[in-house]
Amino acid sequence: MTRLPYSDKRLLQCYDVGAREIGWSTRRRGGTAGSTRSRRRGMGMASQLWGGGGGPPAYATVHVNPDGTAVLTAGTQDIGTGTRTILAQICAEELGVDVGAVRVVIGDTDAPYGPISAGSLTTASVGPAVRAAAVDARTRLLGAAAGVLEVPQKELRLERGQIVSKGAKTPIREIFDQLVNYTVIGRGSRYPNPDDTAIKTFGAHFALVEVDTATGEVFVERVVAVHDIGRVVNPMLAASQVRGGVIQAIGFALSEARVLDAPTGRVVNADLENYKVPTVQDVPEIVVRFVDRPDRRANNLGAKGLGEPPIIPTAGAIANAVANACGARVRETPLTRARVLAAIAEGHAR
Amino acid sequence: LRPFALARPRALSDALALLGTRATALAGGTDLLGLMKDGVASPERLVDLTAVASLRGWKRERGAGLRIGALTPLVELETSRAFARVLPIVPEALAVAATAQLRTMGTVGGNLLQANRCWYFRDEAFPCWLKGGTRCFAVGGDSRYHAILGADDCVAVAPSDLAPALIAYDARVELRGARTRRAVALADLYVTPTGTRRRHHATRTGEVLTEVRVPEAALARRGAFLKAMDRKAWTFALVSVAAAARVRGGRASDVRIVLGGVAPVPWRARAAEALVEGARVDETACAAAADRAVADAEPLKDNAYKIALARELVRRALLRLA
Repeated sequence: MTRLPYSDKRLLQCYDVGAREIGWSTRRRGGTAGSTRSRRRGMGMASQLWGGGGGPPAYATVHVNPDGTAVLTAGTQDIGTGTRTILAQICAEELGVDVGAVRVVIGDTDAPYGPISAGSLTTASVGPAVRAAAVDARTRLLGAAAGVLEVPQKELRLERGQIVSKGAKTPIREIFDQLVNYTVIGRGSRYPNPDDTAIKTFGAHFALVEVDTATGEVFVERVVAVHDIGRVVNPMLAASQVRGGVIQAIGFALSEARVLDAPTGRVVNADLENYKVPTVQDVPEIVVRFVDRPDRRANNLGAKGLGEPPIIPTAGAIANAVANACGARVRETPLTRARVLAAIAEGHAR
Repeated sequence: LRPFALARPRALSDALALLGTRATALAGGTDLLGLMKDGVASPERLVDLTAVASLRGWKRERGAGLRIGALTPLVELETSRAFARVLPIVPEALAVAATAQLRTMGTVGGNLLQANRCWYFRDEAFPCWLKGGTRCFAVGGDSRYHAILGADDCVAVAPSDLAPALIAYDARVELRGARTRRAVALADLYVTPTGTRRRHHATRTGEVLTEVRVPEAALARRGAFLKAMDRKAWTFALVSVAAAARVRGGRASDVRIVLGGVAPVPWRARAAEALVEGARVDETACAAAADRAVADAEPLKDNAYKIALARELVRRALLRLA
């Protein structure tokens, strides 16, 4: 508890969007009839609060090549979330070149320092450093261009790889042609977060389930995931991250568990036969929405992390939906047949 | 994986001559290779049967019933429209068995003779009774997947989805040795491990399961197969139920109720069958039979939920025969 005010918080908007998408107004106390006689339908939701503000240290450099392409170097890595793509986007937009003209060099400890790929850190830590490095590179390039073109620097800007001045366009390549052995290197670092505010991410997941009350089987029919992570840098990658989180969380909610042999302490299901990750058949329709409003106090991108947030509320939403459907309040994951049947029996006894 | 010799004969007689105490027959290998990698099986010689063409394929002869070669891949029975017209419970059971890859590699004989999935049996670190050790680790350990019926010294359960379906149709199997040939009821292929008998199958050393036969009379039965899993696919049954009966004028005869995943062997619920035999297949009869099917259940610490599952699956499977 920091007791600090949040830099920005749009959780209520997450509730509004999610409730509309799932059809929350059709939710009934005690659930509704299911698709067969033994099944009940229910709806549940849960919220998510997590970090994601990132912070220093993180560094990046942007080299502008004589042909107008750029090389972005940062000591981060892409573990499948699309880091490479979003850093190229940030660099390209700020520098004023096409995204295809940016080569991203990551995954090398010789590169400027970056944080581990964990804790929803990368976008909000490395991203701002990349933007700062691109600003620095652009400023240096325009400074050189001002000399070559004999135009005041403040009248120049960079657009799609060209120096633009009062309608006249000069490709970056032509500027470098006039300069001998000139190199443009921009450097950026992640500056500290403001100390008078708490930077957090928010979200809410909504689940629609059916429960077979005779067999304890849970059918997840639909999950709506809504998140407030400030500015969304890349909607497709962000939605993909959310889907991945929801799928993992369905395993967490319904089938995945490490089983320990209590007398020996040995894990008896250290294999993919008995450690049960969801299959495609376990995955429902997943609807992903973002508030997508920049958190301007957070950093120079207004963007926050999305690593953990998508896995946080799903299991709670599913468990709440099960409770709504049939009165079975299961307080341990996964919601196995044994636990759901026991909770249903307990509900009947009460 | 310990070193082993591999033979790949083309004739069944050659295969049978090669089999013996330290040799094991290899078909799809989907179970055996796992057992070998886990250090549970260590044959010195594998006799690969897959080149023995005479063991493949199935045949329906009018009046003579159905014959299925033991090397027939599961996928062939699962996807053949012609087979589905003869014995629809088999594709119904196979559709929810394992994965498409495993069903493509796996064979009928291999499926029927697969080893149990007990995580203490499969883990080299536990010297369990079935492997020659002194005690069963499941009883004092985690028994969520273990037996609720008919167990003795070993509480591992019969894992096959195919076996209950075939037993519900009175299937028999042919077992061939180098100089022997016998046919037994498929139900009798399975034995409860007890005393000095530390195994689940009645096969003798050097014997190969060559053929499954379903008698003509049984093919007239209706059947239903249900399986409860703890996810929607690609996992062994918590409980499976195969039910079959001849239904005429709303009344059932030749009723069979066979459960998988609940006992060391595919479990015939004979007392429950008797309650439906000659009766109308209605809610009352099915519910009574379902209750009877689990009346003798003795759950372990973690598997009482299987009683509720088995009861409900038996009830639903029987109702589908109506």
